[in-house]
Parts: sequence; C-alpha cells; structure tokens
Amino acid sequence: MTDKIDKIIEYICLSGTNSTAQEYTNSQTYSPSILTSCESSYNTTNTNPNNNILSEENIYEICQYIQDLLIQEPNIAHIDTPVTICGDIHGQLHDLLNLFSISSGTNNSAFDDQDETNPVTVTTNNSNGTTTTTTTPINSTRTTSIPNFSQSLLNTRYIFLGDFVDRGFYSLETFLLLICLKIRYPDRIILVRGNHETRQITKVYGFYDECIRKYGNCNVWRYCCEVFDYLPLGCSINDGTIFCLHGGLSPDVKNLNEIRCIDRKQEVPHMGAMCDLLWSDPDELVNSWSVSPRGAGYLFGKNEVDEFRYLNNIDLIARAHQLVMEGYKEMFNKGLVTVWSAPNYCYRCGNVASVLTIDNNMNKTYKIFDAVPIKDNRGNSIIPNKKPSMDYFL
Amino acid sequence: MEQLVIQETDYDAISSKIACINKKYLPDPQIFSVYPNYELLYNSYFNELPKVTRRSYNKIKKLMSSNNYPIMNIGTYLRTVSIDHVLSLYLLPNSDNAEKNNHFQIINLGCGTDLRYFQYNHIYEERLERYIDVDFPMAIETKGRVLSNLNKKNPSLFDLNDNGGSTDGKYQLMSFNLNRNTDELIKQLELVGCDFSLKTIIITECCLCYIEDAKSIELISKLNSVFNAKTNNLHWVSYDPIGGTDKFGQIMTDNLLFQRNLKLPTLLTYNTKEKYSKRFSSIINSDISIKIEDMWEIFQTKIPLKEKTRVQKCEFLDELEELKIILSHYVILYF
Ligand SMILES: C[S@@+](CC[C@H](N)C(=O)[O-])C[C@H]1O[C@@H](n2cnc3c(N)ncnc32)[C@H](O)[C@@H]1O
Ligand SMILES: [Mn+2]
Repeated sequence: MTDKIDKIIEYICLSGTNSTAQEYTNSQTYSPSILTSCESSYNTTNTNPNNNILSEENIYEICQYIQDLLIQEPNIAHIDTPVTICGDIHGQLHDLLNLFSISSGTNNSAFDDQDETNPVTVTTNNSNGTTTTTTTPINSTRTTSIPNFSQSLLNTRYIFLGDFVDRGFYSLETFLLLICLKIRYPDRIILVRGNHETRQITKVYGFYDECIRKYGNCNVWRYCCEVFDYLPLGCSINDGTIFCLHGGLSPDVKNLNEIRCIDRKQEVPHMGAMCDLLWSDPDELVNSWSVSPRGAGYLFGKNEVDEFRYLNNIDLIARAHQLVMEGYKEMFNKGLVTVWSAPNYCYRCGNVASVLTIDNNMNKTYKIFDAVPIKDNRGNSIIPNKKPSMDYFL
Repeated sequence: MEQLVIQETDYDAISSKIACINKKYLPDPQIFSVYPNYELLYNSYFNELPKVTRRSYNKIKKLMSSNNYPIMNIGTYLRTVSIDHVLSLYLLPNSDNAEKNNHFQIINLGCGTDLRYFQYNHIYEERLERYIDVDFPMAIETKGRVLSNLNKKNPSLFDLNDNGGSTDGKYQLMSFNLNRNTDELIKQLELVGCDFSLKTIIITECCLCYIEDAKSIELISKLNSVFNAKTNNLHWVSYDPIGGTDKFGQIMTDNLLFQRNLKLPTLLTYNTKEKYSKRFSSIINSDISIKIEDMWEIFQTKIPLKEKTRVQKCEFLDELEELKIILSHYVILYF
C-alpha cells in the first residue's frame, strides 16, 4: 500500500506537466487526452506504466482505506503544535503544492522560475504581543518539482479546514493528494470537512463535472463523496485553546460537547448544528444570530464569539470559508481568524493566500503567498487546454 | 482571425443568456409580464441555429456546459435586467402629447444574437419607429438566416421578410464593421432608414470593450453630433467590464489573451467608473447627466428585495465575496 500511495502522490504532483495527462477516460486505460503542450499528443499505450495509477480501482481502494482511518477520529479531531492551519484550496492543486513547500520551509517554492519573483510575506504575532513582518522574495522556476512531503510533514503538522474541491480545475487530484498524505502520515495531518464536501454542492460547483469529464462516469465522484461523510467537523490544538473549523458557530452549539455527539457520518443536512458549523460566517455588524445571505448557516457577531470562547476556554477560533483578499483576517479582538489558502481564487480574483502556523509557544505566524504564476511556455500547467473559457462576462 | 475571435464572444453572451433562461433567472417577472414569449423566442432561435451553422451551435453548447456557475448566471441576469430597466425609463411616454415626440428608434451596436427587437416591438409596437441591429457581416448573415427560417415556421411571432428584417422595414439587420470610418456607418444607417431627428437609444452591450480607444472615441463623438444630443434626443446605454484598481483587470487581460487570444484594448484605460464615464462626458454636452453603476451596486441597491429573494432561490449561491469582486468590475453607463 505504501508504495502504491507514494506512486500516486508523485503522479499527482506532476499533473499538468508534460509527463502526465489530466483526463482519464475509463478505469483500465488512463488515457491522456488533455496535454499541456499544444502540439504534442500522446496515445495511450500499455507501455506507459503510469496509465493505471489513477484508475477507478485504485481510487476505490484508497477511498475505502481512508474511511477506516477517518472513522476512528472523533468529530473534533486533535493535533499538537507545531501546526500549520490552512483554509480553502478549491482544486487549485499547483497552489497547494506551493503551500506545502512554503509553509514547511523545506524549499522556497515547488515552482521555480528564473524571471519570476513570487514573494512570501511572513507576519508573526509573538505570544508576548509583539508583531514582526518580513517579506522574502522567492525565486520560482516552472520546472515542477515534487515537494519533499516527508520533510514538510516532519517540520510541521497540518490542519486543512475543508473546501478541498470545486471551482478549480484539479479538485480530484487535490483531494486524492490530501487523503494519500493522510494515509501516509495519519497523525501529522487533519482534514476537516467543508461545506463543499457534499454531494449536493459538488454537483453544482464543478467536482462532479470534473470527474465526469475525466472518467466519463461518476464512480470516482461517488467514492470521494463517501469519504466526505467521514471527515471530522473540527479540530482542537494542544490543550484546546485554539479551535478550528470550516465555517463558524451555531445557535445549537453552546458547548463543544454538543459537537462531539453529532452523528456526522452523513450528507451535510440543510439546517442544524452540523450544517451551521460548515456554513456560518462571522460579521462585525451583527449583534446576535442573523440570517446568512448564503442561504445556509448563520451570521454571528462578537457576542456569540466571546460567549463561545468563554464557555469552552478557547483563545482563538480559526476558520476558513470566506475569501479574504489579504489572505487572512482577524476579527473580534483577535478572537477569531479567517484563513484563506486559494491564491488568485478561481484564477481571476487577484487575492493573495495565507496559512497560519502555530509554534510550540503558541506564537502565530501568517505566511502570505501568491498564486503560482500562470505562464505559457508551450503548455500551461495550471489551465487545462480543454477548458474553453475562464468565467468572464463577454 | 482577430475578427473571428471577437465575433465569437457572442457565443459567450448567448450561451450565458440561455443558461439563465434554463435556470429561470430570466425572464424576470417584469419582462415576463410585458413580453410572455421571451423564453420561446430564445429557445426557438437556439434550436434553429444548428440548421444554419452547426459549428456555432456546438460551440455555444460547449460553453453552456462549462460556464454554468451560479455566479455567472446572476451576473448575466443583472446585465440583462439592468439594461432593460434603463431602457424602460427612457421609453416612458413623454408628457408632451405630440405623437411624433413619443416615437423612437433603437440602434444596437455589436448586437450579436441579442433578440431585444422582438421584445420591444411587442411592448412598444406603435411607438417603435425603427430598430437597427449592427454587427460584423458574418454575424448578421447567420442571424438573418436563422430569423427568416423561424419566420417561416412561426410568422405571428416574428413577422419578418426573407432577409430576417421585418416586412415593414422597421427591423433592420445591418452588416458593418465598427472599425471602419464612422462617417460610413452614419451613411449606412441613413440608408436603412435611420432618422437622425428622432429620439434614439444606442445600446453597446459588451461592444466598446473590443474596440480600439481612438476608434471608440470617434464612434461616440460622431454619433453624438449626428444625433444632436443637445436636444436630448440621444440616449446611450453601455455595459462593459472595467479593469479596476486591483489586479482583476491585468489577470483578465492575461487570461483572455492566453486562452482565446482575445484582446480588450481599453479595459485598463477606462478601469474605474469615473474613467469609463469620462469617456462619454468629455465628448457629450455637459448639461446631460451621465449615470454609471457597477453590477454589485445594482445587485445591492436596485433589485427589489422580493426579486432578489427569487433570484437567490434559482440556484444555491455559495459565496458573496467572490460575487462582489466580479460584479464590481462590470458597469452600466446611461444617459
Ligand atoms: C460579447 S458580444 C455581445 C453581443 C450582444 N451585445 C449581447 O450583449 O448579447 C460582442 C459583439 O460585438 C460585436 N462586435 C465587436 N466588435 C465589432 C466591430 N468592430 N464591428 C461590429 N461588431 C462588433 C461582435 O461581433 C459580437 O457580436
Ligand atoms: Mn466554504
């Protein structure tokens, strides 16, 4: 299994480069019909040993395997420092690979480009109250390298706060990479469920279509959706003074124990505690539970946050779920932070992304990073050729 | 080649509109109450298209299957209803009862597959004097053929002649490359019966953005003087993307160039509402007040609550921040 997983990880990391394909027609032949280089095109031949790596069978196997692992995790998982908290990824695989390199400090960037500088800004809030900010220009080349995951995951643990899939072009690869890493390093990475990890939302927002496009049927989508149902709903760090989740608070949850006794192994309901945890948003302008413009979850304000923190002995609520142009946003006297990890969201929003690292002294460090540059050198690794258009009103 | 790339942006426009119709964003109750055939009109056009050009039809179908996020549907809905809303303001009957003053004509530059003529002819039948659709020759030819086919099938809905224009000459399909001399455009307009002393509304919906700056200035200023804006006879409704002061415009430029080799020559020039409106105000009479709003403002302030609720129920919208960023980079200008 380990060997197989490592192979899959390696294979996924090369998605969108000339050596791999991004479109798979069926289970047996993993037939590359989208290629990055406009001119060259491969035919599937059995001589290519990579053909079967992302076969339906293999995906079925890892999805079953991860379920056995996830079922053992409580609704609120636990992890110790040093840990890196990551927000929404939304299928932006290449930015995720970059995230691993940047956050662990293993090397500067998974993508190196001589003429492109891609700075990373580091802001540290020391536990004694001081703040330091440094900006390091990072050289990146387009020669894609596989991040050194074993080193990354040795340097820091990771919490991913959901919304792995939808919107981006590589939802499947993104999710598979994360679950493969979870299988390989089970206690160094926690995957929390986001509101996009559901059957209903993925049908509208791209993951379902992507699977159909790549396989011609929805089997791999179904396998992944089964995994979604097993993902924990939150995560606590160290003694529980930092609590992480995807969306926000719920009027039905005063005490963390009320989360612990939810029966989470199901599609996310349309209302109730489980729904709210994945859908709610903080809002500086409301002073009690209010209707959310998203049509699910609630808006909550400082009162709700203060009360929840007080009752549960929490210093910081770290959540994702909302695009922040600056990558992260602290609210309510730093009692809550939104972390967003999809730079240039949907390849057009122009935002930066961030991850939040907590060290053993509970110092907080935000690492801000930009999107992997979209640059065409005979084939672009980020935008598949088949995508007929970026979403603009023309 | 470059012309084809620009012409094909109409596939995006029409595919988005049909997607909106399928998802019931359009027609909005307002349009529906005055023109109940909206859905039938667009669907029959789309169904007839493959008999005239299968290539265009396939391209549109493909776009429909890939650009179908709720955010796109909301944006297309807003663009459509805001233009219709502005037009309806300008088309309110004059208090002055002189019959002639209440008549008007509409010129849609870069009309693409827009079928507003049928909608407006139905609503303002008596008062609509002339409606001129202008686009590249190839686009106009396709449109004419599809419409004349449809006319044979359903004469009561269309009432057209064999070229796709209306039998009474009211509706004119005019081939013209707007990059040519504007004096020539004016001559051609005259030939199809445009009356320069009549109250006129010019529509440019995602059209000016494809035209070079100098040319668009010429278009605006020459059309403005020939229609004699001083007597308040000319109205203009223009919808376009703006680059913004953030990275949006640069990224849009790069993406469209990389993906489709499509250029938007003035996106970064008229990148704010102020600059986009300067484009007109520096040319037209200063007494005329030019209004401009971005689509986010329209969504936040101009759509009645009840309608907003209806729209948000058409599909499940997952994110507002992104919607805000996108919508604030598209504007409607009108005077
Ligand atoms: C994005 S489409 C918009 C179509 C329509 N106005 C709508 O909004 O549904 C742009 C249209 O402008 C037309 N166009 C652009 N430049 C033009 C030019 N120089 N001359 C004539 N038509 C032009 C294109 O052919 C295309 O049909
Ligand atoms: Mn979310």
